[in-house]
Amino acid sequence: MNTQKLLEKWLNNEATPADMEALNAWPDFELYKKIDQHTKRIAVPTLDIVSGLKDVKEDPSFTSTSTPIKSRVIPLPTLLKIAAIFVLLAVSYVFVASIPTNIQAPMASIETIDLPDSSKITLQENTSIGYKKYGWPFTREVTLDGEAFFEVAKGKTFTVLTSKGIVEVLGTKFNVSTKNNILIVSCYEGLVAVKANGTTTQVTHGDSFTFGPATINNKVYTSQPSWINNESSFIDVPFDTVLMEIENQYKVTIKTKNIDVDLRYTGSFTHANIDEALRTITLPLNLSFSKDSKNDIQIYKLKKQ
Amino acid sequence: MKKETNICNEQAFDTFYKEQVQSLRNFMFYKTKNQEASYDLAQEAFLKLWQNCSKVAPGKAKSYVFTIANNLFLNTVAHKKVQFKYIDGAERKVNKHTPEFLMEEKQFGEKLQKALDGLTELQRTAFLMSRIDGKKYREIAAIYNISEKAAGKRVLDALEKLRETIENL
Repeated sequence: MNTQKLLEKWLNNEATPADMEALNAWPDFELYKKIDQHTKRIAVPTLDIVSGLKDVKEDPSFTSTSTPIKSRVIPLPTLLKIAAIFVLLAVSYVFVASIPTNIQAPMASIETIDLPDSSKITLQENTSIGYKKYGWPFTREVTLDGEAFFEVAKGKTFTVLTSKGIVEVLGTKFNVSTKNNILIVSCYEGLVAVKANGTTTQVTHGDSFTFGPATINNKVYTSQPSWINNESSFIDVPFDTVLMEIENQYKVTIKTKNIDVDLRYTGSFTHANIDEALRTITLPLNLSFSKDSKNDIQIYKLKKQ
Repeated sequence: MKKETNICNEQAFDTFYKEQVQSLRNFMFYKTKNQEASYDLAQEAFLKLWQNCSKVAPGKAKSYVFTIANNLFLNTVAHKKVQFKYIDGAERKVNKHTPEFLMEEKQFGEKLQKALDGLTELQRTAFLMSRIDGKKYREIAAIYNISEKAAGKRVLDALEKLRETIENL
């Protein structure tokens, strides 16, 4: 075999025993071997690999530039963890925010509720409302059954949902009544919009709208509804509506005799004293009343004098 | 070749460092003959690898650090002519050797150093990597980005040239 080929194999540590025999038989190989042996004795500096790696990592340019590089690899799960926490918080908030708070004013008692944004609702007796306490910053929405007076803090749309219509508010004082299945919205300050019977009606301060079979516009002259002061007040209403209110307030039964059904009444009566209340409503209409033993009340027309 | 992961992973980098630092440092030592300079160059090459890890294809890290180290070496000021030191050979410690033999050994060592200096840079490093580090032609070829056959020829040429020079000294 060609000596060059053999040398090449030998240098690559691939020489077979037969190759070595051939090389050793070759006189010149002695010198090649000597060169190899001496070369291998050249002192190579020793190296502590562990401290070398530490040195590389302690280099300021290693840490400074490795941070953004590492941030591509490692923080993804960290980012996911953070994202998961936010998703969890969001989900639990949505859940908590959807929990409704229901408040009912008991019989013969007025209840005042302070809402999270310092809006105030005063409930008439026997009235119930519902709202989302924790979701309040996002949905200022109150469901109402009965009658209540609203003092709304300025801010986003404030909505009162009733079975008869929707009242939308923009920072104001207003009264909503759904008694006797008739929606009455009276506005004492600001402006409210009422969506009822398929139309939207703007109720400005001093206006009171009754959304019955027909929409009736009345006026209010006070700064708050009379029932807040333990009074019931009426503007040009059928007289039997007034009587129903008396029955309601004093838990009595009223019978009428010889009364004109078309009589209309404007005025108010107190909730404190039934005799005074009855006097207040009967005298202006030239009527009189009497109480029997069972506390039933009869109202009749005064005989002509 | 075994599959190499992206070197941007710190664990992969550590493994790669441990595998390659000795051989890279030796490579630089054959060029500089300087213990500290060779260490610094090798370390700097690994730093550069880490900084540019995203640009280095997996599996190319090795040729990257060798190339970088070589470039860094070429950027340094012309290095001083210094001599390699020899480790005491096993035969030296054996007392039976005569002073004549020891003298002859020393002379041969000096001749070898001169002969090595007479080699081209590429020949010398390739030859030393083959002899001292026991690198195969394949590995040398990978470092220089040349064919395995060319790497073999380079080592063999170096050997032939050394023999020629030593014979003529």
